[in-house]
Amino acid sequence: MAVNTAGGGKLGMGSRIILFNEVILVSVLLFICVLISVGSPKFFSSTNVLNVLRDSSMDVIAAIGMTMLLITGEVDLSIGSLVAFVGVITMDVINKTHSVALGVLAGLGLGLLTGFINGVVRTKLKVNSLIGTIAMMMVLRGGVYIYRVAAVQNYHSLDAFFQIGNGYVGFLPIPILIMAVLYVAFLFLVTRTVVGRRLYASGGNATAARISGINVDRLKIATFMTASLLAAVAGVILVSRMNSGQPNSGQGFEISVVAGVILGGTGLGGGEGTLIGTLIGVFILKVINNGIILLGWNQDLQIVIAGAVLIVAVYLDNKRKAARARIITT
Amino acid sequence: MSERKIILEVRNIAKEFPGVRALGGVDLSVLGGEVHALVGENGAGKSTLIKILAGVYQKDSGEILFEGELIELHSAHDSLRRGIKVVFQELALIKGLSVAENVFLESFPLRRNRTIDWKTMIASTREILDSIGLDLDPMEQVGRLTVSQQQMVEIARALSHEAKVVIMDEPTSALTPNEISLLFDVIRKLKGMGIGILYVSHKLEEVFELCDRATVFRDGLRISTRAIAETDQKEIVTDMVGREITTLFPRTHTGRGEKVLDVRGLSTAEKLKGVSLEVHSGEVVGVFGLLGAGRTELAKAIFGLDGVTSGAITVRGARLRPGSTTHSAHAGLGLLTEDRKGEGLVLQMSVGQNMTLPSLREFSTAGYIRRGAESMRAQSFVQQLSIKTPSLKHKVEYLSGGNQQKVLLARWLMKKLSVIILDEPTRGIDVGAKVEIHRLIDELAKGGLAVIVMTSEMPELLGVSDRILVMSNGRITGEIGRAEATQEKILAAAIA
Amino acid sequence: MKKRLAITLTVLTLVLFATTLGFAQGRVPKKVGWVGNYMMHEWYQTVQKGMKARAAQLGIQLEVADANLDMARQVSMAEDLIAKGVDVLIISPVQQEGAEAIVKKAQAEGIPLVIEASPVKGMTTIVAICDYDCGFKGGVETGKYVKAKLGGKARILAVDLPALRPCILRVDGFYDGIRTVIPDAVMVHRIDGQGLKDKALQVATDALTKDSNINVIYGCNDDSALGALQAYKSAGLDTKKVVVCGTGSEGVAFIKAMQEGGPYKVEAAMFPEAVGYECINMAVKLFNNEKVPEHWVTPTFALTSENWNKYYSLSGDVRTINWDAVNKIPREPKCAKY
Repeated sequence: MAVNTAGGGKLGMGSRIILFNEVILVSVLLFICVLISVGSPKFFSSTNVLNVLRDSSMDVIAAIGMTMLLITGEVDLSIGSLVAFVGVITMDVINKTHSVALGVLAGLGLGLLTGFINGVVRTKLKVNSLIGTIAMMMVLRGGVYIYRVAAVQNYHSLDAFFQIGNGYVGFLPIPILIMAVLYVAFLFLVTRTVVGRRLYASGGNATAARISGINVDRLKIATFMTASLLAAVAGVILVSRMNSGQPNSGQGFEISVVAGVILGGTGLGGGEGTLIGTLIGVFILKVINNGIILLGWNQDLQIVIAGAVLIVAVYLDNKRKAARARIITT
Repeated sequence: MSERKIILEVRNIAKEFPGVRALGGVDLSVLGGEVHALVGENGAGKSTLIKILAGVYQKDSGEILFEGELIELHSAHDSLRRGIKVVFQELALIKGLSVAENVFLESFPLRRNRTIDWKTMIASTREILDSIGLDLDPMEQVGRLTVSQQQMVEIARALSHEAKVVIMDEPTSALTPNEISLLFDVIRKLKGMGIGILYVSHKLEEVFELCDRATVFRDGLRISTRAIAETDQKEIVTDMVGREITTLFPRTHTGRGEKVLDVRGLSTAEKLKGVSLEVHSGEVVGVFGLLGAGRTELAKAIFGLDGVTSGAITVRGARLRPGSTTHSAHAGLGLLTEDRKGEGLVLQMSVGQNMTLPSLREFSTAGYIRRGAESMRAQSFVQQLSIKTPSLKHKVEYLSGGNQQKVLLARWLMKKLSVIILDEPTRGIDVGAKVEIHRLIDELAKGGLAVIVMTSEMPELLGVSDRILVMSNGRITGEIGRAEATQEKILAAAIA
Repeated sequence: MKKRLAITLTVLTLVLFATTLGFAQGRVPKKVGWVGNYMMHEWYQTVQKGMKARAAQLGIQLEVADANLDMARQVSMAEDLIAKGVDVLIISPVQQEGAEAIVKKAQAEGIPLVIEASPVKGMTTIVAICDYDCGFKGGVETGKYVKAKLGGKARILAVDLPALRPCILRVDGFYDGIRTVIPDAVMVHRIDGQGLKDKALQVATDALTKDSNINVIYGCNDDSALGALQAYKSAGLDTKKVVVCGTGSEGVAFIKAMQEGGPYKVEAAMFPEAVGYECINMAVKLFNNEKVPEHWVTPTFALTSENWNKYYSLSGDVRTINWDAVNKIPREPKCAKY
């Protein structure tokens, strides 16, 4: 049957271009990579590629959870402090029990607990998640110092512990493998399953979601727990790479993760965002940092450029959305 | 009637947005001292034309003549200065300022030292208000006034700028019948002053009561301009829709079955005071009430969106847990909210996704959504309900109001419901879509659902309901059967 | 009559003499207050240990307050301590300009003030190490090792913290020091690790990708050195071909690293316990109105995997300082570079 739209016009073509947000991002990433490799031939060496991917793995893993949270309209700024606490607890438990498995479980458990509390604070106490997770960030950071003011050293040098952050499967570093597995799994979850659909609904219009029978509160708590759990995984990888639990680690982690997610096109309002965009967004920021060192530029430029890129990206995104809004005629 | 002069004329106005042709070359003229109605379905181009006349949009081509002179309207300021005042649905007043300040905004009478001449301003305001028979305190803060009074302030503003043309966009959607009378009186006074009025409305009864001529737009073109005295509603509707509408309120369902929904003594903290009602399968219960009576609160309380302080809700004998939407949804309740964009649709999602949202389990295996099955089902409803959309993947926020409402209805039709509550299902929807929705309501009842329709439109209420409940101040104040129902009886109960 | 007068006078004089003798022996302040700037940090926890130990030795009541990086709070805490009746005040300024208020207040109240770590305008004295000389000593010791064991050519990766002047001084000192032994030593990378292990790891990884031909790693604090070492190991480079020098001697990390027998061989130690110890000593001196130099330098020394146990003993996770050895370390009268 003939299809028509408001105003009798054809609404099809204009909107197609807008959907190519991810294409634009990939082009930007490729462009930056090419620029850097011109100045530094080492950029595309296998060492560097693996290094950047390995360094990105922690950000990407945490960004998966952060994306899901932002899709539901929430955020978690406590992940930096959580990473520090997870590192300290994991190292301490391994030291005390000689068991890597127990240490990792303890660390991940802390992640789940933190996420649960964040979720309850948001849904039952109705505290805005920005404020609530900033509070959690302070509690965790203060808490880790009370727990242990000095770094927790590695007493037993267990090989399994070393492998997590530094080992390889064939030529592939294990952190990259963990990142890939988690990414694919969650990509499937978010794009193809009922849970994923419900995330978008809860963030897009919580009332509409409730009316459709979705238990929005329970879903948000589960999402908070997932985000913290994933951040804890990043924390476990980090403690293995550093070979010690550092209470002062993870500073600024939440900002760089959120920046990557936003750069990838996920808005702060909820109801939109893609994991593909997130992946590219995180990579763009990491590649910029890597490039600055390889090219020998002033290291302070890392934050300056990241900030500039972010502002430009959000500005362009707003223009895109405004253009879209003008098409609507009621 | 004396010879009226053309004050405002537009010729061949066209306007395009990316991908949409909003106006394809329309003509219109407004005579001094006439009330000229502009009607048309959603998306017909009415608001685009208004916005061009208000200086908000720029026309792509065409001419605007004011009192015979060719003019260009580059901004809202231009428009007002010329003498064209548009009163939008979302009133453009500064709520924190007084009536007088709003009336004289941008053109305050000044003393010699460039400060505001309050005495003159207040006196002039009072004069203007008197001229249209209004008793308002010029120093009252506009934010404290009722919507009706605020509208009057906008009209007074028009007069302060010596407007020759006043354009009113859907002015009565938030007014009580009394306030509507008042507005009509004021409009007639403006007529008497020789001002030309362009009256945009969906409500044909009002058009036929108030207006001298009516122009119909459809799909961005002018279809007709008729003198009201020489036409009837049927003709206008045919012009609007492009086809003959035979019945506005189709009814084929008959008889009612067992009791499905039973509500006893429902009260909420703020509004509801012990509401009891029952609805049977196959029946349509209409709920009427004036603004603030508590209809929407009742809908939300039954569904569990709001908390209740006391009362029991039972669906097919099973007690519902109050305040739990998941429980309600599982018990077979559906709710079409009054505010479709704010509470019903997930605007960022597509047409198909919005439709299937409560029914995802049906198309999924172990959580994985079977997109093929989902699309098929959604597509069948698109066809069944004649939803105008380029595809299922289209973002639902781009659809017209009527089609959006159909998407929401499709959502509930897709599920196996026992009870559906529809809150203002045809608000802001053009005649063509209205009929289809009424047909659907009929289908729902025929299919055995218990249907509750909350509406503030009397004709709709009388047309669709088997039984009418009237609410006032959070209570049910009257129950009238279809056969005995009259407007008077209903209104009497509504103000009780 | 005359005889009695003579005896009374003699007795009085003797009594007076005896009392002044007692006074001149060096009174000890009863109460000393210390307002730290960031007690959460391991460094200051250790300074506190040294301070408490010395105060206990001398029978001084020590009260410790933490401004937690809040300058305004530091001022009000100092005022509180003065009001509580401390005899001497010690502060580790949060901010050099803001602390001038405390200097003025202490002067007004006549309370002697010891500054620790960061100099403040108008102060009487500051107890602090010489950052430049500390780094220098580390550089010299590292240079010796490179000459003896690594072939005599030095290529350095230094992890700095440019936001803090003391750190810049340490790296400058290290570089100057190593060049006294190996004049053609090259600074291949001088990167900003923000003093944190995870940041140092991240930045050093990229630096090593750019140029991995280095055999000396220096960190302006232990975390920086250890982070860069992790990066080196991660890059698969040979740990037998590199030497690591850290700075600070804050905790047990460096001892553990040295005990491992790996490349971590030198520590430019800053002896935080001694800093605390000397603060108390300085408090006593000021209390007795002694003349003191404007900068009282506390010891720094290049510890190596051979000699560290002369200055520290380690039991489990706790280290104990060997006061005798540390107090014997010669101190510079003033720093070579500020």
